[in-house]
Amino acid sequence: MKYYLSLLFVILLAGGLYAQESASKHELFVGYGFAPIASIPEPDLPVDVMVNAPYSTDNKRFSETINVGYLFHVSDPLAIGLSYSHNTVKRDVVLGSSVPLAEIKNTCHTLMVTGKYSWLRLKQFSFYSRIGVGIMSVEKGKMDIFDVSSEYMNLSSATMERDKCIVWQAMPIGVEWNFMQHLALFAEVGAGSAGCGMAGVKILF
Amino acid sequence: MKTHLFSFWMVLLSMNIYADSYITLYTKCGKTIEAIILAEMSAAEIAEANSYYTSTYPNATYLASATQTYNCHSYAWNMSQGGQTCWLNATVNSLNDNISKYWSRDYYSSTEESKTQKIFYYQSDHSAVVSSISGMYESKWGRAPLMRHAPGYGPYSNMDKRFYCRHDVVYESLQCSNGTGTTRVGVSSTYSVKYPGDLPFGSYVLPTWIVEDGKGEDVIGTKANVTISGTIATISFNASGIYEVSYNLHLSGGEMLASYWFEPIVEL
Repeated sequence: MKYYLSLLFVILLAGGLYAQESASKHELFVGYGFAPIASIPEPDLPVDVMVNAPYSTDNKRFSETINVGYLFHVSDPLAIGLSYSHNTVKRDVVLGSSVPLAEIKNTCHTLMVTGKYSWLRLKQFSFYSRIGVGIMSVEKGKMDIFDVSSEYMNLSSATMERDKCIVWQAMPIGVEWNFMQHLALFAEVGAGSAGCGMAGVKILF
Repeated sequence: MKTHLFSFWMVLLSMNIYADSYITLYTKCGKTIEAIILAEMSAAEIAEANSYYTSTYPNATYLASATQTYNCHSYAWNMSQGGQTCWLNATVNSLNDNISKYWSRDYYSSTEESKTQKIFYYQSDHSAVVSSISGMYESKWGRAPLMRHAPGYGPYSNMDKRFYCRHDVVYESLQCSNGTGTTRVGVSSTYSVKYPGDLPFGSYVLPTWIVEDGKGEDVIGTKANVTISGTIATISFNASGIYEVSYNLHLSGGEMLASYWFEPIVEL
């Protein structure tokens, strides 16, 4: 444990030695997002012919997101740019209160316009907020029908289509650690389709 | 290919449903309800449906077999009252026009959840009755089995959107034109139902006006001159005393639907 703490101290110290002398104009980042939230379009599911009721989806589960982005500093504290997120979403197909009858899996691609404002700059650390809005493309889903299904279920007749929806991202608190001259680690917390938390690495130039 | 086969099956199914005979049911008050006598499904279909719906709804209790001969609306509003086995669609021409006759100025009227006898799920095209098991409902799930279930549990969406109905005999007072209830011999007063537009109606509903003296004897044509015009009676009394004027609605079988009354005091 002492070894790791010492190592962290050395890294922090080294980071200090490589502190930036002037603000960078460009940022490229790669990050991993946790617990994304988004409202995605409902697939067009058929009606169960036995009870004359439509199938629906339930228990939506997003995977973590992989994010890449570019930011351009229009001024020292303000940067704007684009980000791309990739993740998947799984949903159970149910008939009212039934047990899950099938699972639909979609791949999602999100392109967002994003803006970042740095509100506190220290020697190695800077604190910022970031927001974004964009479009999520939900790829044509793949449905796995569970064994519980009966031959009278007409779920297999469902037509999965590609769909789109508007998504957003709000990260009120972000912190960036410039541990090398052109390299920083970052972490953000907030909410949105890219995750309620994100961490990654940035290249500054 | 599967889609085409399924569509073909659906067409066959529709033809099967609509090829059967239409019948007319009547609400308790005598309004006509359109219903259908349907042929039964095959034994294999019934067995499959029983197995499937009991396994996919583990929190519901199976009560009776799947069948195509009756549905939820028929079970709740018709068969549970002794009506014949048939399929009853909520809508014939406009939304819920068929099923709503049961509670629109008829035997049932809207109530609160704790007093309900029958339930209409107005966003799910579904009906249920209250179970003898506290907190549970019973309903037929389309062509699937008859099940006992929690109010919001079943194969339908929006099962939290519910309309509650029960039957209660209405006891209310009549309105009197002289207001106080005290009148004089030879003076005419009118007695009327406050909201006549809310009264049950139908070919089985029989309205009666009754005027009795303190001994409970009919005095129409003797101590009381009565002119009746629907839900309004104009009465003048020939003798002093305390009377009871009532307007009753019965079913043709004798069951009371509503009673409106007034006790005029007639002075010399």
